[in-house]
Amino acid sequence: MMVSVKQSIVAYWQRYWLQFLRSRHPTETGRIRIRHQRLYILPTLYGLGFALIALTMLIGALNYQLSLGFFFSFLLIGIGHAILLRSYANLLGLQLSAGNAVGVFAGENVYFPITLHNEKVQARYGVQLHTMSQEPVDCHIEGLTHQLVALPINTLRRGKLKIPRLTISSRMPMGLFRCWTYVNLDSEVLIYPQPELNPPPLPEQGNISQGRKKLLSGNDDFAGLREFQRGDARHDIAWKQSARSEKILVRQQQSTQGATLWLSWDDIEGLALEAKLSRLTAWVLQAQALNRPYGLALPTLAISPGHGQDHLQRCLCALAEYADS
Amino acid sequence: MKRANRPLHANEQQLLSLTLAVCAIPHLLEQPWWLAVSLGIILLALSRLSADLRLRIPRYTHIVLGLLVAILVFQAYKTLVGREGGVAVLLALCIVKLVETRYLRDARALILLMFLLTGIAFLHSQELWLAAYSLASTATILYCGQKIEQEILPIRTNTKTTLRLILEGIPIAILLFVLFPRLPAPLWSMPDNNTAKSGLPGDQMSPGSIGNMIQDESIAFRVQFKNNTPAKSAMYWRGPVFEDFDGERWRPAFTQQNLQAGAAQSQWVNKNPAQIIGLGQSYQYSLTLEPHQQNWVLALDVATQTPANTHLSNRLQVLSEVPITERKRFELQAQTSWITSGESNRQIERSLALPAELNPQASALAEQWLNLPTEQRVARALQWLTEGGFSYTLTPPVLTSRHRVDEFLFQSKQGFCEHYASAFTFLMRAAGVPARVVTGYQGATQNGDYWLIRQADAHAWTEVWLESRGWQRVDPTFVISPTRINAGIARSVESSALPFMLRSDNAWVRNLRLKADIVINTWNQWVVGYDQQRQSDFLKKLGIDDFLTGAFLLWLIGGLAVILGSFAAWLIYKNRPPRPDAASQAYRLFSKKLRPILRADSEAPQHFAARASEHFPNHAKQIVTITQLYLKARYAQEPAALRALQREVARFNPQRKS
Repeated sequence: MMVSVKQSIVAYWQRYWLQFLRSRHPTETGRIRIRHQRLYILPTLYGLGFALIALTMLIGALNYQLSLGFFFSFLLIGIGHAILLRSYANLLGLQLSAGNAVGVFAGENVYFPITLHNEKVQARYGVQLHTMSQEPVDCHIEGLTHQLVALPINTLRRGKLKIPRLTISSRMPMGLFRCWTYVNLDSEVLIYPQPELNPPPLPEQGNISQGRKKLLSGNDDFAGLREFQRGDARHDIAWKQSARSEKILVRQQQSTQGATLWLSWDDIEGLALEAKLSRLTAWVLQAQALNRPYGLALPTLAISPGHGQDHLQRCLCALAEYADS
Repeated sequence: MKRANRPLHANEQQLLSLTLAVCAIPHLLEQPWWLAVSLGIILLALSRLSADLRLRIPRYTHIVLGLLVAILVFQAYKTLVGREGGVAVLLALCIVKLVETRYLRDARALILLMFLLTGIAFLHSQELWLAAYSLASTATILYCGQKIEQEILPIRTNTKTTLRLILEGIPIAILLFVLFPRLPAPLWSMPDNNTAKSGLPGDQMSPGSIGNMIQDESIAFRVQFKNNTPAKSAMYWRGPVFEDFDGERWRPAFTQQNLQAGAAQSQWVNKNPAQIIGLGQSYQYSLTLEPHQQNWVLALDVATQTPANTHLSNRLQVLSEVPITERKRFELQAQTSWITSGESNRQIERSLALPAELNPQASALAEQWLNLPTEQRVARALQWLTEGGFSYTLTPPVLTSRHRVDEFLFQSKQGFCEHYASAFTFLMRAAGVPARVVTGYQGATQNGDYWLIRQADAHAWTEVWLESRGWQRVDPTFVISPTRINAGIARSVESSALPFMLRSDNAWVRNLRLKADIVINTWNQWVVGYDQQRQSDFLKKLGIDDFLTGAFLLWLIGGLAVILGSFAAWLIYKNRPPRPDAASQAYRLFSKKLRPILRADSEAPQHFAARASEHFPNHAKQIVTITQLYLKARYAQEPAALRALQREVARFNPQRKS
């Protein structure tokens, strides 16, 4: 009975708190300026200790009738107040904006680039950015500059990921107070499905098996050399030629035409939805690595064969956004 | 919480040790030398330890060190609590805590302890220099506190912030200092004091006991007269009164000890206080007494009104109910000529007693005057002194004979005030006139609007009892060396025997010192001496009659509101969004005029113009013009376009049907 009451109180409180946060800190676009209406401040344990010291001094001064004791304890109170204002000012007026993150595969960390703009002449020290799950990121921003922070967010599921609510906090200058606010930045990133770890070989069909054979047979269809690009498979590098030139060169193969792959949803059987997507993702990556044209066929959508980074991106996005209807 | 477990770096450890050393110095100066030296050595040793070594110190070391220090402190004070012992314990605790300090959390605790250490330094003294020093050590602690929180903080920024924190704290401190209610009595205990007594010896007067004080240029008390000031020669400040003579020393009828025990109070103090009838002018003044650990309030002779918690003894002394252990201020009224009546016979008889068979020559001399009227006997004795070839000197020959009064009066003839007072009182008693020795201070140095009385102004004189006028002051020194009374000690004895400050030949140093004393006096009166009395006087001037009245709350809340509000306003002002430029302002006005069409912050001017034109087709041309002017003024920075924009916006009125 007690447990359930407690649980319901906690649940109510959490609901209320989330409601409060949503209404007080709605998602904002563009540059967000931290205003005083939404900046909170409370003493830390250290701050309470400081207050206790001031109080002890005051009682001592009362007992021993020490005028300077009075003055000193009031000075501590005044200094405490000055520190409070400074802790508050450390965040007040700070501006944030989020950039676009580069998509990653589920399970990897996505890095949201967040820019902190400081329009004050004074530097802002010890500004911490926290998300729910991650370690806080500590940064300091010199006066009249901005600072770029790559905020790592753990991804678990494919699909759209909105940047979670951030807590921006600071205890500077003395650690007596913790000042903080919540920020909901408007930035999203697409998280691709996690590629299957050891996928079966690419699904060769009909005439494609010939192409595969060709491919395996080696450099019959060698078409020339081109400069190395990121994403090229290592076994394509023409080591001998590269050694002679300044650049790293890669063999270009002619075989692409005849070896078009269709990576189809329907070919995979007996797997759950996410597992299917994982496998397709792995295949797409494999095909891209082999620099072979490939098409993607999903129940709702078909992407005609092609190759190159844009094509890859399109396929990955389709996989990421695939919704079972 | 993770941050707090960060281990400290070597330079942070050293900064902490240094800060602790700064805070500990005023305390170390007050400890017994061997305790100060041992603590100082521990502190010094710890500050030199490298961080690596410090991390390898076994945990039990600080327990051992703690016990060791506790034993040392106990050796010094025989207690671990109370004022002196408690301070030493806290100091030792801080130093031992330094051994233990490895993580940020420990450093924070140490910072708090150091604030406390700085604050309790005022238990030792409340001098101006200590206040200044405490401000400096507070700054050091703040500096250190910020540095350990933020390692990358540059020195310049840190110093600046530290100073600003203190400067911003001071207005609040002053406001609360003035308004915070003071208590009339301590909360739980009087400060226990075992500091040495200074000032006039109250237990006995023997040759040399006042002469030695002439070397002491420290200040005994300060006086400020309200309306009129008596002549300097009439400034006799009454302290201990001596009645019993054993041939060598004078002793009081009651001593400081039995005064404090309270036994004497009923016996001597409250019984038959003599009645005083004042003659001539009376003087109102306030007297700020330096602590001398005794009950005498060195009031101007004779007091006709005594402040609360003091009373007039039947020796006409003003006595405080408790020994004066702190600088204290009294409001008094005095009369420099008077008549007393109603003294007890016992007291008068006691004032005639002489030790038997001592000083036959002096006794024989005095007996010659026995047949004269009382007042004549006094005059005769003074005349005898004047004609006797006596001299006033700080370095009289030491009296060794059994008959000291005889030796002085008939052989050496050189003496200081106590010799004359003692011998004259002896003569008076031998001549049948009740007489007693009074000690105190005579004279004063004017400094600004107040008078300074130094220990060197200590003096002794005689009081005789006359049938018609009661106790009257007779100062035999006056007839020997009138300049002592009129001009002060500096003019009446050879210069080299005097302390530096009293010599007449370095006026500028003396002036400088007197100027400094004005500062110290102001400090003492308004800061250190700001007690319940002063506070209520001062608050009355502000229109506050009592605490928790409307006026008090108005001052308190108003003052806080002004200070805190101005800080907050300044903060918000400093952080306000940058003011939009002229073009943006004009454009904003234009957007406002286009209501109900609202422009989103992210909407480009052209899009907005298109939307607005649809809504106000009649004004489409104007809208486009204004938008173009805005773009030119804002982004191409054309001054002409800006002026045109402002003109157009002013003229623009879409609500009007045209």
